[in-house]
Amino acid sequence: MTILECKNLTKEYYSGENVVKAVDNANLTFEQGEFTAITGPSGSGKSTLLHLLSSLENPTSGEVIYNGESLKKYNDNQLSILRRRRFGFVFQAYNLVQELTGMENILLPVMLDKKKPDEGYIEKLVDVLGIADRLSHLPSAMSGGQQQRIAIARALANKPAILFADEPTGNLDGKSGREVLSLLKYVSAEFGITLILVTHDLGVAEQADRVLTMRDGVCKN
Amino acid sequence: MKTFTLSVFAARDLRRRKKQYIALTLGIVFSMIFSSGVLFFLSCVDASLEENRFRTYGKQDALLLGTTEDALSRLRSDPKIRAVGAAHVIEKVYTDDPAKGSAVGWLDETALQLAYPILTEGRMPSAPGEVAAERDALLRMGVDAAVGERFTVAAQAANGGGYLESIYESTYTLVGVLAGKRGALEKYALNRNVVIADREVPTEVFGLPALFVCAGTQTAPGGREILTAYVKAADEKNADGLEMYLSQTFANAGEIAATPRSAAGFSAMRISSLGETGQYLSLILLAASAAGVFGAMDANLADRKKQIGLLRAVGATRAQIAGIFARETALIALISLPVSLALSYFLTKLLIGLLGDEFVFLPDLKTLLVSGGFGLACIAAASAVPLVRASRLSPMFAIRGAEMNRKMRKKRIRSKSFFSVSSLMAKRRLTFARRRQVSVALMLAFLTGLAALAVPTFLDSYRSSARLRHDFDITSDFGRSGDAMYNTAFSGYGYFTESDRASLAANREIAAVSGVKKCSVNLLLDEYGDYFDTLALRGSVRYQSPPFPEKSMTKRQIAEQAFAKVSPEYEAFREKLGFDRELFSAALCACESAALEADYGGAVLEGRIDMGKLLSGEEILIAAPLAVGYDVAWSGDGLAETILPLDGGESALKNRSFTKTGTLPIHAGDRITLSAAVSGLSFDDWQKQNAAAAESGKIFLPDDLRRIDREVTVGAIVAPEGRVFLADFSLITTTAAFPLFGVDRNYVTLNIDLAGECDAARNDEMTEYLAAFTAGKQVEIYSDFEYAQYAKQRLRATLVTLSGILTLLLAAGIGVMLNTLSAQLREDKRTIGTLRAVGADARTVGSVYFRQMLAVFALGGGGGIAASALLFFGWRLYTDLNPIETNAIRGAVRFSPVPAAALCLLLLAVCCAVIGGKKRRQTKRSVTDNIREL
Ligand SMILES: Nc1ncnc2c1ncn2[C@@H]1O[C@H](COP(=O)(O)OP(=O)(O)OP(=O)(O)O)[C@@H](O)[C@H]1O
Ligand SMILES: [Mg+2]
Repeated sequence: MTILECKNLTKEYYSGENVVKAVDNANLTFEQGEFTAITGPSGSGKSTLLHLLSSLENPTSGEVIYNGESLKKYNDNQLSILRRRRFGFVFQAYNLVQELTGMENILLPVMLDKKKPDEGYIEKLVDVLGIADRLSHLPSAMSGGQQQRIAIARALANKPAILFADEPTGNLDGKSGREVLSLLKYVSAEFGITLILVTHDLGVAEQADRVLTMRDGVCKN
Repeated sequence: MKTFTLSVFAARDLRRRKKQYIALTLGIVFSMIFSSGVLFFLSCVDASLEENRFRTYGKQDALLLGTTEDALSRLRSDPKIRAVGAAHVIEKVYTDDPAKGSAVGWLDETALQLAYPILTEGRMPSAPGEVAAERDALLRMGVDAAVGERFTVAAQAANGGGYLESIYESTYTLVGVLAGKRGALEKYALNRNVVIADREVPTEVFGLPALFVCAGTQTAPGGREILTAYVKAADEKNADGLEMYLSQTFANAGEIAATPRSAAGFSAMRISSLGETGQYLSLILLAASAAGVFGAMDANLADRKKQIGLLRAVGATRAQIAGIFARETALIALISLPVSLALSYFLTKLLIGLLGDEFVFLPDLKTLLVSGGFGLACIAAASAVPLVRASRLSPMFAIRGAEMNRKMRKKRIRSKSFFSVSSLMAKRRLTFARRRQVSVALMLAFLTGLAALAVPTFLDSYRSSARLRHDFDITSDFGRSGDAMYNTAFSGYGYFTESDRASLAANREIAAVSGVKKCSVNLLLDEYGDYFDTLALRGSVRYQSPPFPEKSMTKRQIAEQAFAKVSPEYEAFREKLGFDRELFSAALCACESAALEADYGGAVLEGRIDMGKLLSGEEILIAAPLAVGYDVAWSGDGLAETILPLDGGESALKNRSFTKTGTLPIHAGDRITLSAAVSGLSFDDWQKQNAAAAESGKIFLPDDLRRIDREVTVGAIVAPEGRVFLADFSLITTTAAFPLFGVDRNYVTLNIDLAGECDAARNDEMTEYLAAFTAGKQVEIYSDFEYAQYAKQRLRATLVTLSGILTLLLAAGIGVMLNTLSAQLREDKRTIGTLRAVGADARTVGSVYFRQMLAVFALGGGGGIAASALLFFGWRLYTDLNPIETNAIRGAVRFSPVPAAALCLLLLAVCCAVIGGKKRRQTKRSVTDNIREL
């Protein structure tokens, strides 16, 4: 079953006279539970594509279709609800809320939804990610890898339908990286989460069901 | 490639952060407007006071009346004297009463400059036969000529020291009318040795011309001009010593009269009271504006912490970082300095213009320079702290925001496992950005506190500025002159005779004149009791003369002792007149029936007013509080006795603990006996002999002192406060019945009502007329019109100043708050983006800010209201505990939380609207736009 697709998706950035086509006419489909890896050189538009697919960025043209419905029809509130219930996003630069502790950051989407957290599940996430001792610290007191793992936990906290991750293992050593990846694969299998992952790590890409390669905004299977 | 220096960086940064810098510059401009405006204003107050003094007395420091040519040339060559002018008096003129005449003369150029004549109409004379006259001189003579008309008066030529006997007629054409100066000089500069009875030879008056003819006019044949020197001291600071110097060096060169050094009258009062208010306000404003600049600079720093950290990381030194900030500040200051100076100059000018024409706007270059320097100093001081702090930041500390961790540990913040996002976020923001929130809250507290006190106080004073009853009062009654046992028992007490009254009433301008008479009588009592014991302590006659209490004594012991011992003076007086009952001395006040009705008709506490019986002397009124309370307390080494009239009765008594209280034992319908002590001695003689007796510690009782007793019925008890007779206990009768209680006397006060409405011109005329009428007497002239004008103007001035200041403050306050909040919003861009990315809707994000603002407003507004309430009630408590010193001011201040709350809500609405708009613009953009760092 197709959970997410995009049609003629294009994003242009204007910097003075120059037009940068960060994403150029992408037509992609993502099946439920599928693990997709996106690779490509730096500046090729991977992050931009991920932002567009997850509704964090508005496309210049084209559309994103989630569960058969164009996101164009969603208003801001509906998009917000979609983001906190159905999507999880791990940023390349983590983007933790500086004023909130690790645990609070993790619980953010759950709390925004005014739900009771599934404690066993969260505990398990924390356990596997190895961040149990950092939970009551502020992000500014964490290492880059720790922040990244908190960001992953946050993205998974609400058991999203789709997890978008922008180089989630970029700051981790090989062993931790593998552990995080197997966690991602495990939850995706357990809860049927669709994984869309940007990575430079070919080892990671190998484990994906499908690998997309980007070059100058153009996406190839 | 262009070299990339730090100043290039600073300039580029300035351009990039244009909006923030505009806000910062605006803040600085505001505070500089405050500080320099205040200085301008204060300098104008001084200038206005001086101008007022010049207009009243002239610019000279001293006058030498009846001087000689020789003395004039000696004066001119004296190094201690800067300028000497001469008035040449050629004759004195009058219509029928020589005592109401004035001197005619001309002033040389210097004298003209020093005398500073103020033309209200027409021009100065330029041809023989023309005259410009002070208005009160014309009034005094009864000359009714208008400008351009001719008038003829009787004249006597000057003969050097006085005037020739022979009388001739002088005819002049009136070409100008001047504001009166002679009257003021006569009253305040020349009244030292004025002999009232001997007004026929007032050389002082006649040496000072009030009618001016053209220069060079000669005396009539056989005469010789009287010379008066106008002298200005060389050293302005030494002007006070000039009189002394002249009396030593120019002892026989004429009658010396030093010009008063301070201005007088209502306008001077107004100017100086505004100046005082201005000083206090300026202090507050300066503090507020410094806080504003500080807040703006601080916000700017916080905005750029990360940048500073990065710069430090790539190797910028502390000095270089400080240099960037200093350069930016200097640049901003240089832009804002001329702008704010110009703005404050014109704003002050506008404000001064609104205040009325006794204010002059004369800021000098010095004030301008001082203002500028002061403004710069303010900015430098306010920016110094963030500057130093900026350069002290350690690189990683700044980049990572490690501050937060420290605060987290310090505040023991616990991680939450269940929370409302907006409320937790708001809470954390308040904790982590405390300083900034506190500065906003302080600003708010300041504004609301001011609103809670200033607005109700102003409204109250506006309401209570009621119109007064008469147009003019002239009075020699300065307080409680009627309350000694017998010191008004003498003939000649009171200044105004029936004929004075009649001559005033004959003036066509005056519709009615009513008089007030006063004497003291003794109320005979079987025993004093608590009420009279208490009241007696307040009188000028001590019926009791207790020894000074010991420090160890309790309140009650002090009180007991105070009431125990009867003074020997009292006993001597009782014995002399053979009283067997106790005496309580009270003022017997008499006014005309209409005035009595108007004053007391609405103030009856007990009984009724029967005008027929009051006129026949069958009945009398008692104006007194129904109850009084007494308290005594140590105040340092002194003893503070408090006697309060407790008009409210029981409830007022309950609010305070008194050592002693008493209720009035006399009621309407009671018969009382009043006894007046009278003597044939003149008031002046008595004063002399009494002073002599007092020196040897005795009381002076004239041989012919006798008593006149009279039994009357108390018609009514009336409330004493706010009425014509400001004594705690007085007896009220009509002028018709007044002689029955002793002997008839002169009036102490005449109340004057003009025919038709009074206006400014008529007020001036009448004041000058009355000044001339009462010349030489120890009399005060009260113009109720002027007072009402004064009250109105003062209110208007206060209103203008207050609302101007409040508006500016409000603007500045809103500016600072918005600046701070928007700086935060900018900083929060990334946070907002993140929250949105994990699924927060726009409302949740807005709610974070709303909660934050609500908290700050609750803190600031509540704090402001609480602080002002504390101030107000603390002050009340203080005045309750120390009523003697502070009673007068106590009533002036009011407090109400309503305007403060309203202001708070208004500000909240403004902030919500602006911040909400900004937030909306931010959430409208795509999420990554916000997350992406610059
Ligand atoms: N807001 C923006 N304004 C202008 N250009 C942008 C903006 N965001 C991205 N770009 C440009 O779009 C292109 C794609 O950027 P993107 O961040 O998607 O690359 P990427 O593939 O994620 O690179 P990396 O592997 O380094 O993370 C780049 O050339 C970038 O400079
Ligand atoms: Mg990227």
